[in-house]
Amino acid sequence: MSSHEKSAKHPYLGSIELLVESLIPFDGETGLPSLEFMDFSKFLETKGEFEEYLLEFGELIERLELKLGAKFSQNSVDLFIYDKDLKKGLASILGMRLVEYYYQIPQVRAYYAQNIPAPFPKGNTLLALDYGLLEGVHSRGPIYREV
Amino acid sequence: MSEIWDVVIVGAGAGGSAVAAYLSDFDINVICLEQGDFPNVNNLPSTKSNWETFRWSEFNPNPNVRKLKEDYPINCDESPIAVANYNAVGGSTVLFSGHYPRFHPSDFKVKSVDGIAEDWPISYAELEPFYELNRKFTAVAGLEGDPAYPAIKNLLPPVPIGKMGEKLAKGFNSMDWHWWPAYSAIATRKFGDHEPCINLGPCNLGCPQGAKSSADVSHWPYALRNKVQLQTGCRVSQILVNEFNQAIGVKYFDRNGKELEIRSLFTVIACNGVGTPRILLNSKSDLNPNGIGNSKDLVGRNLMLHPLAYVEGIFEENLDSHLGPQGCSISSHEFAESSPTRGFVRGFTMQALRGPSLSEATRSYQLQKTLEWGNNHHESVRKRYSHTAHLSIIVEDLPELSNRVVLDPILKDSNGIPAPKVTYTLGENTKRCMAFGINRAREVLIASGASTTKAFGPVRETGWHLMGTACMGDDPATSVTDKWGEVHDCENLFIADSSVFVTSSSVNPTATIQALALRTAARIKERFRP
Repeated sequence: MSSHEKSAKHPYLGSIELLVESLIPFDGETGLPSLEFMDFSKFLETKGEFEEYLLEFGELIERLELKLGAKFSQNSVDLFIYDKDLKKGLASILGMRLVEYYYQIPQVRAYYAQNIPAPFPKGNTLLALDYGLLEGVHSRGPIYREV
Repeated sequence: MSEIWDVVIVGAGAGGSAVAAYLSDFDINVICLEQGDFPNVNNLPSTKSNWETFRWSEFNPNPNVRKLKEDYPINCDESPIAVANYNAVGGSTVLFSGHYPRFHPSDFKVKSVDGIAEDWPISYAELEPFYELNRKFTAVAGLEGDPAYPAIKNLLPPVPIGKMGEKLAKGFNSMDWHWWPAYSAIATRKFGDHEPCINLGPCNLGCPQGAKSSADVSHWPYALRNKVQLQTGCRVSQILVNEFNQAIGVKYFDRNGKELEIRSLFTVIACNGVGTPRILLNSKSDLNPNGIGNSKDLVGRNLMLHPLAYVEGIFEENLDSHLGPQGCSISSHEFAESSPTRGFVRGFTMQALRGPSLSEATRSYQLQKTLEWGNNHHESVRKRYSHTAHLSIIVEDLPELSNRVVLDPILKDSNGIPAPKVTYTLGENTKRCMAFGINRAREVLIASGASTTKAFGPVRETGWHLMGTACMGDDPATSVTDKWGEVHDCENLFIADSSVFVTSSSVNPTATIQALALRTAARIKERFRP
């Protein structure tokens, strides 16, 4: 049985999926995609971390539902997203994995004008030095101490 | 064992490469043992679409994260700063940013000018010819006329400072503070074996263009053409001595784990400020019960790490700050020299850092707990990413006996050699200097137009500059080596890395490591032909 098949029985699977996709939602203004749970879980799978993080997410949601007295649902997303305990939970490696995955998505990188597919061999053109900016610095004279 | 080499060098990094390149000009048989391999420039991260992810795995600066076969573990549990290094031909220069300033004249004479620590047994003037000589191999870009130094001439054109650099330059000007284009070990034009820089950006993941003067590009091609023998995959466990306590070679493991010995007239250890004391301390014998060079219990002590603070300013406009050589734009030496009004001695430099890449930036926001989740996520990233300018505060660390490298009683590498353990705390002077530096960096960022600033320090994963653990001096009672890097207690054994630094300056050490290594090599050459 694969990790995904096992995870299908996870009692909080639906809530976890909803939470993950709410953390980075679709952005209508720019067309930036949401963080898709299925793709994220495949990413975790390649790292051999899927089950570990499913467990971590599940425990987090269980604690939040208990604390907030509500089931995680589309209607209560804001209640959960802005809870300080969720932020604390995401401050671990879990949050790192979320951004590590999301900001490698080609569409997202293209929006931010990152080098695609790689910095080499294209390189970049940069603003050169305006030597005039150094006139004042130079006119002050030496600032090092003679020994 | 049948052959006796003239010189065996341990470590093919910044120092070892300089010794090899220098000696290769003479009729001297030189062999270098290096535990890593030659970097494969065609396979460096910057050639791949997922290049950023390599920083968190096999190109991570922390050997305890990287865990490659050529790495050895380092216990840093008792230090707020983790050791960073890279084990390969070229050593840590493969991953360095290429920031390549010289030490200032006063850095060699801190006791004389400020009444603290010790003076070096040499001066800037004595080292200056070797800074110059090193430029035969290393491409050094910058600009003449810097008021922070005596004249430095014949530099390659400076690395473009970019929009972010210009923004900061105007801020420094408004404060009437020193700034100057960064001294960079980067070929901004074709230079020797180097290709011209094309501003790829992540120099600290290796340079596939071959523009950065990492030692595998700058010194090794020259040394190898001149027939220096380089043996990779070889990890040295111990220095061998004869009955007169003279160095006669080393014991090492080859890449198959076979233990071998090599004999030499001179032995040069160049394994950085942690690797070198580790080998000295592991070289125990009846003659050297506490390790070689350690009769005064000084080996491993006085570790200096250049504690670094990071200050970020957020701007309304997009500064394209993620573009360009990451560690080389502009730097300020306004506060490098002591002032009686600041509440601490010595000082710090401010080095502008280009912005992190997208993945690194968002990870950094997450680490700082400033990343927004939910509907505000995209806007918060958009407003910040590449809208930032960054200053690192590099603090001159003072030598303290309690900051040290010892052998870990339990931890060992894959060959069973005891691993190093670092015990380090920030001194009061360092803390005050860093706090002052953070405030000055905030001021100049605001003066540059930043709407807000964020700062933190010391940054843990910045222990690149490993200095002072086998310091040089004229008095054998207070130093490990003489002014040439030869160990007082052990004739014919030289150290050619930043272990020999007496004090640390507030600038990056690689230019000084290589100048000192060339000077040491010149001394060894004289011993062949007095």
